[in-house]
Amino acid sequence: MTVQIVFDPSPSSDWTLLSQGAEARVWRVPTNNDTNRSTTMEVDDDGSALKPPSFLVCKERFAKAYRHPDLDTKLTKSRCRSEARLLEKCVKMGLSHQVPAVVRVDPPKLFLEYLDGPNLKTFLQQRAKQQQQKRKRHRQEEEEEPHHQQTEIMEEKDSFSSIDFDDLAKRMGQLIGKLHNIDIIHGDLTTSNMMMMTTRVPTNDNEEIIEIDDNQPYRLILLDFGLGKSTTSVEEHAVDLYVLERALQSTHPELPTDFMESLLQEYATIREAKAREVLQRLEEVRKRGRKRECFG
Amino acid sequence: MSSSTAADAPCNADIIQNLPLPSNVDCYTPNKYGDTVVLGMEGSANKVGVGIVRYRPGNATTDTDANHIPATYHILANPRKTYIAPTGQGFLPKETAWHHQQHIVPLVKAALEEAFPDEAEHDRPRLVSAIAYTKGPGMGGPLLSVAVCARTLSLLWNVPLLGVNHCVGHIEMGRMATGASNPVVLYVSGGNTQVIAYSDQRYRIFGETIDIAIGNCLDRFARVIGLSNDPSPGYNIEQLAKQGTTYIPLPYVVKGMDVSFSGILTQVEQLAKTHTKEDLCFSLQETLFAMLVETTERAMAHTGQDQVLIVGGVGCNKRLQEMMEQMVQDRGGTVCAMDHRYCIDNGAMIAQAGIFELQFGQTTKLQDSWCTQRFRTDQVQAIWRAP
Repeated sequence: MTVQIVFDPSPSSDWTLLSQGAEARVWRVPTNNDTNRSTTMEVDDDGSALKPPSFLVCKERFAKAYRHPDLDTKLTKSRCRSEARLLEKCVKMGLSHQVPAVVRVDPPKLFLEYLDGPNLKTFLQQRAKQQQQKRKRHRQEEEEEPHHQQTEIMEEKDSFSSIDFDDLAKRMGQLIGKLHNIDIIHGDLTTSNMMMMTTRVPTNDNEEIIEIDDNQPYRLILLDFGLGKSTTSVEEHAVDLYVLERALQSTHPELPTDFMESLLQEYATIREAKAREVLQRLEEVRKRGRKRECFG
Repeated sequence: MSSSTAADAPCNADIIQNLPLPSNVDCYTPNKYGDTVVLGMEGSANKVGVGIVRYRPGNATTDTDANHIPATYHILANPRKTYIAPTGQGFLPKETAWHHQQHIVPLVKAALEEAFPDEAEHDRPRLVSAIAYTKGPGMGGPLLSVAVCARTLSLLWNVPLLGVNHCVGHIEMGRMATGASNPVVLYVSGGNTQVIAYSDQRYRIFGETIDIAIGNCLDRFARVIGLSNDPSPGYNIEQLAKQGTTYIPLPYVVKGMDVSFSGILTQVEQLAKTHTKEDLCFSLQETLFAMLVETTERAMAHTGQDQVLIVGGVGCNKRLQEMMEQMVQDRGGTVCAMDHRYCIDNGAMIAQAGIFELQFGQTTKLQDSWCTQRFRTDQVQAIWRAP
């Protein structure tokens, strides 16, 4: 089902800067469709009439002055095109609800579906901080009244306050497994490139919606395929997982130690016969890091 | 000594924001002047150095700013000797170890003389509170050669030993020398390429090379095109690159925050037959350094920090510093770069990291004073930094 989106691709003052990452500026671009509609692409309960969105995202890669101009142009253009191609392949091959849809390619600008939801990294870090503060409060109370019976502190009800880490690990494993099954590696798997979408998902999807507290189902969205590649190479698949593993270790030391294990278990289930080779290679890649001659 | 190997003024301890010293530390004795002096010894690759760092406690008054005398760290001496292999060869463990064994004692003597010129020669060791040495990572023979000297001196002078991680030494020296309290660290040398950020008492490796280090890549390329190793292959590549004009497209491999250099090395070795040395050096630098700057920028975006510290021998390269400066300016941050005295392996950096360990009671017993070729930066618990 396709929808007509009418918008003006040239930059204007209507564009709002959402964020500026290391590589690109992300703008929110208003469409010329009826703005009374919702901001996301929705399917009605009977599966008909996709509503056109009020906004799009423009991911604009900017030139880097520190790079040689030849290298710079090559990188920004090729990454833009490569990202678009990979996203389109994802949509075509069954991952349409877990990556943003491509609307228009205008290197170095890429127009994508506007998806709104908390960034996974920010969410996890905020939650870790909350837990830390709660523990501090507990300790302070212990000190003040050491014989006081430990009372349950009511959890502050915010959207994802009781996230299940095991569930999150499985979702990640599932998502990456599905990605690798269509022979795409992401190239930059980190929690900054993942998002949690809370919009109600279409019921004609095969995916099981796992609900967490307060009836707030979420799905994991993968972004930023600029370093991605279409490849069947076992080495590349293993390195893709390795990059994620190290990113989780360095950015989220508060995650349970078996997080990666749960993730890989689910990954293996999704990948079936291909899993053994990739996981074996992952072990080798890990050893390479530890065994390196580090002199000088 | 005709010229000082340690020409900087003392550094104020307040800027580095480490934890205040625990009050019950009694495992070392300051010298007769009330100072804590640590002698640091480094020799994990082809450079052997002895550095002397003095910690002078301040008066810890907080009543008025005028009365407050900050604690200071001062490098009193930092002599170093480099083993340069013949052109076309890399430096091998055996010859390097012999070189270090030959020079370590004269370096210790020279360092003591420069640090305490007014003391009698036999009195100088009494001013040293502890001896720091590189535990690892590095090359086996060279590491051990220096460690044996450290152990001997610690027994002779009856002072504690401090085993130091080489990478942490670079980082602590960098923080001290530049005043950057908590930067993203790009550590680039012949044996290491890591992007590091501090979190919760550990130096966490965000990105690194998945095959060879950048310095190793440059050194090997220098051999292929027959460049001299004197003063260092990287320096000679840098000079040739300045005369390069054509940019030759080379493989650019960044995987997340990791980088890979073996592909580009293979490619550039083949191109050596058809292009000028100048153009190749130029193109190689532009590509390799762009990869490093990109991964550093990602780490900065990921951690939300705006300071970058470049450490390690390759950090001396002016073009790398220039590119990093440009990137950081566009983001509104700062680059903290050092000169060759501290970028390149040296003894004072080991002494610096050692002093922090000493202050927090982390001495190394003789039976634990072994060396190891593989020692990850994130294995060290940086107990001296605020969690």
